[in-house]
Amino acid sequence: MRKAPRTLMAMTVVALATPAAAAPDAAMPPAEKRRELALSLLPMGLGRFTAAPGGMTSTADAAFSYGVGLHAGYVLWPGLTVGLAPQAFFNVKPKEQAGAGAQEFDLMLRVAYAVRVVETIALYAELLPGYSLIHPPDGDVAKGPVLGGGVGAALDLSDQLFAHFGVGYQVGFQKLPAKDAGAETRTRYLRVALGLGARF
Amino acid sequence: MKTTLSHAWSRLALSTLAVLGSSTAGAPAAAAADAPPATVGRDPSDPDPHLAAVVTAIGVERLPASAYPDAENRGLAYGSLWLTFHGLQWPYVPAPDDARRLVIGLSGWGWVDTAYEKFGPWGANPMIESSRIKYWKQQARLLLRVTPTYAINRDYFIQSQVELVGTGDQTISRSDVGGADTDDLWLRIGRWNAWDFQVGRFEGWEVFHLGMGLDQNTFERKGAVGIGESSYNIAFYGLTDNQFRPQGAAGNMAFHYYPTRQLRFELLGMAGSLSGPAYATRPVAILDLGWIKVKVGAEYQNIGGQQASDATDVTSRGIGGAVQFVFAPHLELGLNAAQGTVWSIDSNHKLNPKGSYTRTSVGGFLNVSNGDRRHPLLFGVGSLFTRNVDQNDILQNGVVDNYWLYQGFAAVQYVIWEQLFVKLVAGYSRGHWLTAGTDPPIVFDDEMYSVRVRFSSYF
Repeated sequence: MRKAPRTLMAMTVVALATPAAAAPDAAMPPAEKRRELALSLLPMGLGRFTAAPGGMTSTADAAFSYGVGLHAGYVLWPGLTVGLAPQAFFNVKPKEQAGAGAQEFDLMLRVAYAVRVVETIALYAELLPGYSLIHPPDGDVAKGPVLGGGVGAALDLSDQLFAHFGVGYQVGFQKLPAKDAGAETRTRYLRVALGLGARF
Repeated sequence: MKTTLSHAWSRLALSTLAVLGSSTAGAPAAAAADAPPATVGRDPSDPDPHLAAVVTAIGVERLPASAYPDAENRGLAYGSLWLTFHGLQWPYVPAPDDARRLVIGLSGWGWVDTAYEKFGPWGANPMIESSRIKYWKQQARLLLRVTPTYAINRDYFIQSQVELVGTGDQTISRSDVGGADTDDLWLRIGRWNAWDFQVGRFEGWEVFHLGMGLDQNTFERKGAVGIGESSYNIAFYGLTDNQFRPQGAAGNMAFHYYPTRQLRFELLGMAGSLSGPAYATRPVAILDLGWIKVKVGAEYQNIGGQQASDATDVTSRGIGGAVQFVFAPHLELGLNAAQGTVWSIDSNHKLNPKGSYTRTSVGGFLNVSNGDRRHPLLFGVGSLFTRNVDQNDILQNGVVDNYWLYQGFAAVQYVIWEQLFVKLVAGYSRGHWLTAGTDPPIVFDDEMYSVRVRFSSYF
């Protein structure tokens, strides 16, 4: 007589415990992914190109430029990501200048803050300080700091994958080496970034 | 949008079918001949069962979601491919049974565009200062579509459609003073999912798909062709000589054939007067497997002189194709290519070398969506490259006018309450001209940046 209720009670406990044990797993958010890596296309427009041929500094409209960028970041705390964002782009020259343009290589630090407005959409602002090289087809390389910033949106394609679209502006302070009298050869561009990334 | 709208919600209050009775014109005489003889002394309040059977019903409804066929997946929800029908018969309003009925469907769309563009020309264009401009513009178009569909039974139908247009600028046209008054204006007869014959004012099937930018009548669609380049015009060619509704006293007729759900054919013809008597044909085939869509077509158009003594003869030919991929719910993309020639004989029966040219366009687009029905956000990019080369080598043998135009855009779109589309499009375009009318040829360039925000709604 006493064994039967005990058995029933044990079965009931097991029956109740099974879904109860599963429930926390289902409700638990996926493990927080703190690292992200993204590849971007970089159309760079409305640019200005400053140079000092013959010692006379002049600024002209830059040709439309295009390139690629990568950013690798780590989420320090929710919303705030810090990482590196190297980028390279081509056809760097005044738009009226015939012939091949220079290449610009920027190694930037990326500090971004994102706000998730709905489950699949985050808006972000980013600051991109860095160092830049302008490598012309011939002649010396201009070097110097560069500073960029912008805003954008990221949309989730899955738990891991996301696409992003950003717009911003970047200003370079590059100069030629001392043997060229440290003449300015600098660029500034409206910077658009379109890309795909992953969090892991 | 279409699938999320409940049928009940989408109907207007007066959508309940209003039974008008059998006196409607055309209430079949044949049916009357089969009617049993009238019974003397019949109670008038007692409905005649035969009469009820032949009653013709009329209703007015906002077109339900099912009127926009999506069997093979038109594209990402709210995306640019999703807003086209890939040759499908629409509005698709078959009768639910074999009774005759007339339903008047109401639908439409509207948009308001606010845009800015800035040109930056350089080179030896003698008209360069005319192109050195900035421009702001707001334009709008609202369209109410009325589609009476008379169902013979659940298969056969007679359908007509008028699109009543309210328009704000769009650089007016349709012979100005008020601009456009109608877009579509057609009649068709056919069998659902099998065939139809359509006549009137309507568009041919789309082959080139441009993505989320380059919409009709926008700055990025026109590209870097400023006022200073207007005499060296260049525009993309996408099997488009006879795709859009003809202007003036001209109209289309088309036979559509649907041998299978995935395979669709259109044979379109055009006749009327454009700049002179004109006729054209444009066959298009579409294979739509949902995730992949292949579209090919060709076209031919001839415009002659009005006067008997006028030897004008302008013949345009073209061929083109597109392939599109839809990886729902997140990605769609496509590639386009087309080439067309124009051969132009003037009124004195001489070759017009500047008017005789070859146009080639290639391009592509890519759209990405978060696939979220409640908060749909899409990014889109696209590019288009066009080259025009004419026969104008009068001054230097082998050196002809040679122009090219690049048009690119990036777009982001969010849809509020699954109904109001808000789209931001940034465009860049560059044109390059080598004009052989002088020795040496004049070479110049222009570039254009544009940005616009479009609010649009479809109902």
